[in-house]
Amino acid sequence: MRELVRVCLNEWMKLVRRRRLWVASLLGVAMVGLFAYATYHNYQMQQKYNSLAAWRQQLVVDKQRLADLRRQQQHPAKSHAEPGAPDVAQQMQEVQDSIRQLQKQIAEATKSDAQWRQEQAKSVRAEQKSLAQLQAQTAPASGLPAAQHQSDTAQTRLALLSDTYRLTHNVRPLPSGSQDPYTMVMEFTQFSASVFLPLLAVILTADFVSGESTSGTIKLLLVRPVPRWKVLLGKWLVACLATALLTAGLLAVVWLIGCLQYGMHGARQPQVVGLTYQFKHFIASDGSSTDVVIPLLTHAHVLPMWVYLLASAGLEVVAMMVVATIAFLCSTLFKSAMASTAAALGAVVIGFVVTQFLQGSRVVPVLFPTHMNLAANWTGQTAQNLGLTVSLGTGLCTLAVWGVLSLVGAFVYFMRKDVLNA
Amino acid sequence: MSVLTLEGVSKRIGKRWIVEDLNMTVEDGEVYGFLGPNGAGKTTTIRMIVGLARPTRGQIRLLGQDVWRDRRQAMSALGTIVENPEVYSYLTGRQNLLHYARLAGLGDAPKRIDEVAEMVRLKDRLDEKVRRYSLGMRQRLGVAQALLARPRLLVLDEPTNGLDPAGMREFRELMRALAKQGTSVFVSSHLLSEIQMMCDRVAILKGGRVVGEHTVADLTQAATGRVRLQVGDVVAATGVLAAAGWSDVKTEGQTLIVEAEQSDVPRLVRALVAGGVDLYAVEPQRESLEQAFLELTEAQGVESMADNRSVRGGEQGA
Ligand SMILES: Nc1ncnc2c1ncn2[C@@H]1O[C@H](COP(=O)(O)OP(=O)(O)OP(=O)(O)O)[C@@H](O)[C@H]1O
Ligand SMILES: [Mg+2]
Repeated sequence: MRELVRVCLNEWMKLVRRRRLWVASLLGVAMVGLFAYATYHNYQMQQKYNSLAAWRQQLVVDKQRLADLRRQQQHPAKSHAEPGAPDVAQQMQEVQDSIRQLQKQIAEATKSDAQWRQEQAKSVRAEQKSLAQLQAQTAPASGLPAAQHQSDTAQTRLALLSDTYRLTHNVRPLPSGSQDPYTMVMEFTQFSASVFLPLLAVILTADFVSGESTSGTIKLLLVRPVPRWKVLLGKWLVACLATALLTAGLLAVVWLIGCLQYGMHGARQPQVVGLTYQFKHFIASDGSSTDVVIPLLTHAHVLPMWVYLLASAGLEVVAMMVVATIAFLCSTLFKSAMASTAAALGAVVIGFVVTQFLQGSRVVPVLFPTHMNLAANWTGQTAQNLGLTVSLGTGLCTLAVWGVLSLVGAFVYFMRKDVLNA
Repeated sequence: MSVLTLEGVSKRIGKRWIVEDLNMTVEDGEVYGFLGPNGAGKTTTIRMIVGLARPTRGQIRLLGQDVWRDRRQAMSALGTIVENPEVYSYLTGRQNLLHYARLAGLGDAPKRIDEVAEMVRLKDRLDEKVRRYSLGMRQRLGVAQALLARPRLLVLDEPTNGLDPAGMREFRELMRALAKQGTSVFVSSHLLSEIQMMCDRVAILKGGRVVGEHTVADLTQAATGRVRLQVGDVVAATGVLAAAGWSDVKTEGQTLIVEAEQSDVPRLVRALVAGGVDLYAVEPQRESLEQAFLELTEAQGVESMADNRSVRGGEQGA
């Protein structure tokens, strides 16, 4: 045990002095910076066109226009409308619709908590009623109607899950057009999990062993009393630790930037997890086909956003450690650091492309790049994207198999190989 | 007890036998040379001794422990440089040594690091990044790393590559001093002069087989049946010798090399003095290790000229 700790200390000492760690960190930080900028840009656009202030401004403009149109209607002689333009009555109708819509939105956003609770309770009751009605119906025995009935029931239940949560925990939806650190982390995970974070994991770990073969220092590691497996285990542990720290660190930085820019709100918003979907495909006798999507709610429950995000950051770390392990296998198989990095990058990029191409194929769930965003597996998003019943369990099992096989491969090869020309 | 034993060690890579049936023993406090032309299999043998490659056949024991089966005990007695002394160029010398000390499980690492740095004269540059070291300094760091864990046996593959003459001499003295303290040294080289000055015994490897194992004294003391004469007048001397019955005479400047037994020397000198030739020196010609080496490796009849030349070239380069 003490020996393993010493091996790990050595690996850490080397890692922090190598350029790769800093390259990966800088790339990560640069990406986070760009992402934060893009988010802020979007936020400003939203504030400009889709916020309480913007609606109020628009309301004033619309009212002014309505008044103008009225005047035109009363003094048609003065109008110099071009031919073909919609007549004044129609225009007035449109403006009035817009005003009504804006007033509704403003009322929604400015109503008191008590008011909101009352309305939320009302809509929950309505959903409960429709659910009861659905259940009271004798369910169709089979075929398309049965599936549709099943789907409707489950969809209503799903809506009830978060609506009830909002009511019992007194969580109002965030105003539209707002931004919060939690959504920001979720979006960052979504867009970086499939390629960018794996890329960093590969840069960081793909030369852990091959780098030493290239420089010849592997000989020095293997002529010591420490057994080979312990040398490799120490390397793997440090590779995983570094990947985990980098991944968690980047997510934490995104969250911090979010907190600084938008404040800390949004932590208690509900998030349904443990969800997956079933997909049924029906072909009618006239040849037309219908797809029915049925949410599977057996394990579904609601978590507050901050718990969900902590857990999903953990899941992301696990996924990246699996990528690191695959890169680590490449680094034991190849003697050149270049070759092993290229092979690991190839696995990640080609894997990603293949999962995009083969959407809907049965092979996709067993490929590791499918499950790079495990949090999306958890919320059922991956299942919806793929059109296949894929759950968090599927993702974890698949990644576990890839990870274990890679690790076993690395150990078996490393234990047996002769170091002849390093 | 012998420190290192090789019993019938053979190694096959692909379909080729790189080394075949090696049997060697290195005793306590002995400096053992391992000599052979390029491609003879020295490095391959050393890789097997230090546990980097597995022998296809045979057994290697360090202090009686099998290198593969009782790795921990065997390796804790070993210090080594295989081919080039590899170092982490992005670490400082001290960090490099700390790295090895941790792997060796050394208790008093900081003190020991200073000790070995002193031994190889690297102390003032120890906290610099190795990237800035010269080749010779890296070599010294390699030696320091090999000595770190107080090994009973040092296995060194061409350790004096890149050392200047003073460095080489220091290195030789260090090896001899260590041997005196009871450390055995197994050193491969194609620098014959190096081996000649440093080793007690030498094995000569040729095409993967040991073609001779001798004490260096035996190899170099053997009289060759030739006498070197330094004379004033080469032509007169040759004439006198021919008249006295020694017609097989080679001339090298003012020196004559005559085929003559040790017992004939007095008669030869008398003949020259009587013939009025000025005689400055008479000495029996001793065989150098180089000649012995070439004879032994050429006796097998498969040595190529290219190999010979590169061996000589190596010595001249030094
Ligand atoms: N990995 C390998 N695969 C195949 N053949 C190899 C391998 N490594 C070495 N050889 C062969 O083994 C033979 C011995 O090589 P080795 O490096 O042991 O020679 P050496 O005695 O150390 O030579 P040198 O004096 O040039 O260092 C050579 O013919 C070489 O081509
Ligand atoms: Mg060699």
